[in-house]
Amino acid sequence: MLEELLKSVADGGIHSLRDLAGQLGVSPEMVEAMLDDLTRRGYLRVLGNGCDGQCATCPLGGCAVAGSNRLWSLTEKGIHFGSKTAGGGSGSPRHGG
Amino acid sequence: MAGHCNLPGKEQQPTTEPDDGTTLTVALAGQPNVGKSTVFNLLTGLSQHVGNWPGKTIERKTGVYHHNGTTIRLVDLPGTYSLTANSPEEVIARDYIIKERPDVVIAVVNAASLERNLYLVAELLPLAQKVVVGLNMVDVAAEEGMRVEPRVLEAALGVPVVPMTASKNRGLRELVETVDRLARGEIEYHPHLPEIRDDHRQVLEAIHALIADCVPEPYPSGWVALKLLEGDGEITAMMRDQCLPPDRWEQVHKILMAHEDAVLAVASGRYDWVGRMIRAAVTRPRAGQITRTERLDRWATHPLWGLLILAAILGVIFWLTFTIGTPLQNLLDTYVIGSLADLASAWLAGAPGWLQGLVVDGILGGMGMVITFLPILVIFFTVLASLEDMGYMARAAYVMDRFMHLMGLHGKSFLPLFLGFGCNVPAVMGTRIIDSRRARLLTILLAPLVPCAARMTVLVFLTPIFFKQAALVAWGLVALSLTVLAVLGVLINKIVLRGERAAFIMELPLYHRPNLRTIGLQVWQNSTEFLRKAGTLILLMSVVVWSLSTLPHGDIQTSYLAAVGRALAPVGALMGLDWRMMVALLTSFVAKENSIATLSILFGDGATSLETALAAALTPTAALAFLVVQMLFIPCVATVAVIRQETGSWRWTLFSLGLLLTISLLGGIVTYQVGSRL
Repeated sequence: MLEELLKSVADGGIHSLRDLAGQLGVSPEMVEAMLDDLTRRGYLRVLGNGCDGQCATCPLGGCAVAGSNRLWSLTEKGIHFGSKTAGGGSGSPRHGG
Repeated sequence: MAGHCNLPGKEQQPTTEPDDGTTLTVALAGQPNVGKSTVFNLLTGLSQHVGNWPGKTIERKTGVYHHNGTTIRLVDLPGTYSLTANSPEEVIARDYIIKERPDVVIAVVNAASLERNLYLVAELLPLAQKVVVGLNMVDVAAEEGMRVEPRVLEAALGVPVVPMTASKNRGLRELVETVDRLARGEIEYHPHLPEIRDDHRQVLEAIHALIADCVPEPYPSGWVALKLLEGDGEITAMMRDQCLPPDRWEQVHKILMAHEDAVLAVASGRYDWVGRMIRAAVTRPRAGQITRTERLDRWATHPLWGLLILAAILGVIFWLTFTIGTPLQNLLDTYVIGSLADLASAWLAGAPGWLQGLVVDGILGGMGMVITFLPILVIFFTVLASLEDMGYMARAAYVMDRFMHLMGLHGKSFLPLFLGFGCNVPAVMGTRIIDSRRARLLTILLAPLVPCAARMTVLVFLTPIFFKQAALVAWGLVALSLTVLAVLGVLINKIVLRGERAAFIMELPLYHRPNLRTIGLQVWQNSTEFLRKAGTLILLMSVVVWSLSTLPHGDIQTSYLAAVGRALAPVGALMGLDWRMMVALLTSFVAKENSIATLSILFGDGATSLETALAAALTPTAALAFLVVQMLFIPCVATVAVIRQETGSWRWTLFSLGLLLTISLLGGIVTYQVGSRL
């Protein structure tokens, strides 16, 4: 599941927690638990205030990017993993569920 | 054997109980924040002893409690997320379980966050002799509306589960009894262990076969093989340096190298297991607010509808601006600026001509004109602040980013660019969230193409003068900017950024009713910021422009400014623009709003209104060309400064300026040449 999560994110762009949960067939809370796990392993990074405190003068003040909701970004390690396993690798169907 | 249960209550008393000689060792394990300390304190009370784990600075707590004549030694293991050797705490926890072999391990979990906590249980089950799951914080779970079925969880896990609310001293008695009965073998114990996925099972068996006879006591060989596959640092070092002969290690190493993806695969297997447990025993009801958000998001984040909604909102912004804002702006212009101008003329009647000119034409004409746009900006800020407060902006960012992705901009995330709608400066600074330097540089290149509030002000100023369908034209120009941004992004991505990726995962907030006070505060902040800018940068430029346009002879056509303007005139001619328009473009480098100020100074002559003068001087096609240039033009000096600061490179900054200059002028020329032939 962790690998699927990384793979679906690794080709870039933006993903919502809820969409990932739907894709993987698990609850959003489960996705969040896995995201925290991947963060601890260094594949993801939790972004805090992305603009370094410019919110005071920013016209969008406290916005979608740097606001109170969590935002994760793929680290170099995570990108590397995604591209490595994207082509080829174990394609066997998963058992159990 | 008739000892009574001596469970410590809220007041802890050390007891002397007749001991039938049985001693049990029980370890307390759990992830951080599950209430493990509370459980430990309640069970051991004053008998607890705090020391350090041998050779480490990590605190070690042990204590004693009694039950039914048995003495139980309780050891509090450090709180860890897993049992993989990432930290000393994890090594301590698992070493204790492997080497000291406690009779029972109590795994404390938080009922409200089982998705996380059960991962540790997945690691404990194959390692510990016997495990009891202390399902703590059931009250919190209940409050959140969650239902956790302890019996179902028990059946799914195959180990005893005891629901508790340790903070209220509930469930401890049952926990103690369960531990006791389990230790005595009175409870059936058949844990359902997580299994490794089929595709890695053979690899695991191969490794196991190679190491089985070399694994030292008391390590379980199967577990060691799994840890090797997981790339566990401590176990790998142990086997490589102390246990395996070199040739054996070589073979193991080769297998491990060929299966580097196994690390996550093993962890994934555990999460699959956790998922099954949760599906069986946990139900989270979806509260009203959550379902409402989900329902709205079906449209708001839809790849097509979401985009259309965004476009519609943009349309509404312009419509509001033109129906309410422009009339207000005109009123301000006529009654406030006009009156001030009359007042100033009267008051300065005796003063030298240049002073009159400076104040009336320069300052009031230039800066004053820009300030009349405050109502328009207030509308813009209010809509933005409202959408943000409601929680919509996150969706807008999400939809735009996905759209870019759909257009083949694989790997690029435009989240920071989204900030550019207020002002390009935070958009450039926001690129700091992009890890890769190359990707960041390229996103910075695109930032000035996002139409900022200032640029939109110029748009709103000029479109009604020349076009009946002002809102439509304005909307179209914004769409043009964004299209150019997308196209440029695609080209750059294909040519330069092959394989570079940036990916983001975001939590979309729940929608909620907008808070008027928050919005008001935000609008106030933005407005004062604008006025401050007007009073400084724009005032300054107005004075400079006016001065340069009257010196040296007081006649605009022979002024220094005209000389500069005429130098630019050949380019302007290709766009149907005279030298005054070109100068206006030039001054927009300092601040976009300066275009308005400059035009006001250069075209206004008191007798006719600025609008009439402009309408007479330009054809609509030329005006359109001017606007196209303005939208795609080099950014204001503040943005350029930040670009230089963030890229740390003059070369890149100059390159981006050159690129935008070329694109904008080409755009303007094409617009005019094509438009005037239609």
